[in-house]
Amino acid sequence: MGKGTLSYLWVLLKLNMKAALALRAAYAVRTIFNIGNHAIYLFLWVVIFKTIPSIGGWRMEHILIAYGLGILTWGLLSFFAAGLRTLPRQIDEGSLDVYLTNPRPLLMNIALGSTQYAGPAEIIFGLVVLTIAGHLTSVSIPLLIFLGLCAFIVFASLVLAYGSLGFWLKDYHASAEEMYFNFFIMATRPEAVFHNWMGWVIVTIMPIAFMTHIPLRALIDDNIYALGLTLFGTTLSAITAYAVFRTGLKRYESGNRFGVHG
Amino acid sequence: MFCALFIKMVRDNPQKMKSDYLKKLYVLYVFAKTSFDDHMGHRLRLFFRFVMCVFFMFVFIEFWRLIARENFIDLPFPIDDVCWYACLTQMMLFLSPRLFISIDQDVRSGDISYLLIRPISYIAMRVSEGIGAMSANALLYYTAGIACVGFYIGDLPSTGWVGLGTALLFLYLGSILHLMYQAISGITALWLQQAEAFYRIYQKILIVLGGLYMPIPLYPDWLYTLSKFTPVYVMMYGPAQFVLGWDNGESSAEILGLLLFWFAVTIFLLGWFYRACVSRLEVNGG
Repeated sequence: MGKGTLSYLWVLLKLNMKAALALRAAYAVRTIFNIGNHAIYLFLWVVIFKTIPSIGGWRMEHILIAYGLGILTWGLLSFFAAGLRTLPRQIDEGSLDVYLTNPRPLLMNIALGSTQYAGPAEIIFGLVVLTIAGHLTSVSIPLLIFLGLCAFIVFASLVLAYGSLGFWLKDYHASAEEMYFNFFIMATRPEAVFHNWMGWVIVTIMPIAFMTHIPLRALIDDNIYALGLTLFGTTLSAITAYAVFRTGLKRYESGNRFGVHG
Repeated sequence: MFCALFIKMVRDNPQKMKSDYLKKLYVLYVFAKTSFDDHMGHRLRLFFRFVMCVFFMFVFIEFWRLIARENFIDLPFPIDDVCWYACLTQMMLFLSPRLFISIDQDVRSGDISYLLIRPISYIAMRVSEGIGAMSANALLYYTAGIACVGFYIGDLPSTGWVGLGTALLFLYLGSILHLMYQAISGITALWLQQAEAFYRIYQKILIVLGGLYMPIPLYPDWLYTLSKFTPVYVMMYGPAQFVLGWDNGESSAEILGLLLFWFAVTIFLLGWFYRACVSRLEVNGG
């Protein structure tokens, strides 16, 4: 990545931040709603663990780490790579033309081409949850942050790979959005739930295990093998997602798009 | 039956319909039918979503089997019934299309200004389309989906076909109510420039108070009582509880009465909210 690309990346990030702050009142309301949304979900787990003390060896602190990683990841994706989430819609509308004619890296342009305003609040909320969980479990904070970044790469790869299916499936945007959300929800379920063939599913075609389940083992049990596995899974997810995207891109055609992007 | 009679009548001769009300109903039926056909036409997308739903239902089954194996709590229901319950509540989330996204897109793209000038209520049109797409989903989920769940669990719920059939019927009606709340969430885009924030809150309330993760009688008493006073009770727990073989469940008449009550409240709320938003759009522009 050259200096020019880096400065371009910085300009895009600044533009996204400006866009987020343009309508301050609406932004504040949405932020409150988003924090409320996550707080309700965490409350549900509090209720569940009041009734059932342990699920497959997971207790509240495990859920807090898994959910903290999940929210952080969702927030990072929403703010820094929201374009990946809208990829199926962009394919349907032929909007990728704008990026294809741009000399800058295509994927970076797509990812940073749009932003979700909830991102910064979710990043902060995720970090707060992780800090509380870190305090409860005395895990290494630098390792927690590092694994948070790995989780972001895995989730972004998942979103890219499944979003790229839009090259083959038409009018797929709403289903894709639902799927991303469900990946996030599944990643916060206790690992023991996914046994037998399900265990294979979550490390292969839906590698959510590399987002939360395996990093959790590295964090709580100080398992070096799990850390290595997380790094391997993260790299493999990224490579596979990029390969799916490139394959799909060969099928891309803008059709008769009527309109101009300014 | 009334629905079938109406469809027969309008198919036979729609021009002869004197009443404006019937004509509007016919137009809404056409929207629903078109949406049904369109939804069925996208077979790959339909199949893909179905596979995801089945996977998530299996995850829920394993979730409850794990809890039963660990024996930390005494479940007041047979474990197979809880698995059926969990699958039906999960199915309810997948049954309805993402209506709020369509409305959100209409608002953001500005297309809503063209749709509002049509001689039919915009929101009624979108809800009708939602019902059409949901019916297409129901056709697949109520046949292949139920077969997959039955095969995986290995038995019918203890209430048998009657309990399962009643649950599916009320689940369909509850999903129509869910579509209306999705429409309300979608309209919030006129204020917040994004419908997702409001929808996510509503969705989490549905998940918690509707009893997606566990039957609400297992909740603390105050939360159980709170849930009973919300519309999400008749969307999720109310219908799905018919597969739970226990004596303290609600009867069909009680759930139907509650559904009718919440339909009345929701239609009023939707109409009022829609008019308020449209007048705001007319005054301030899109």
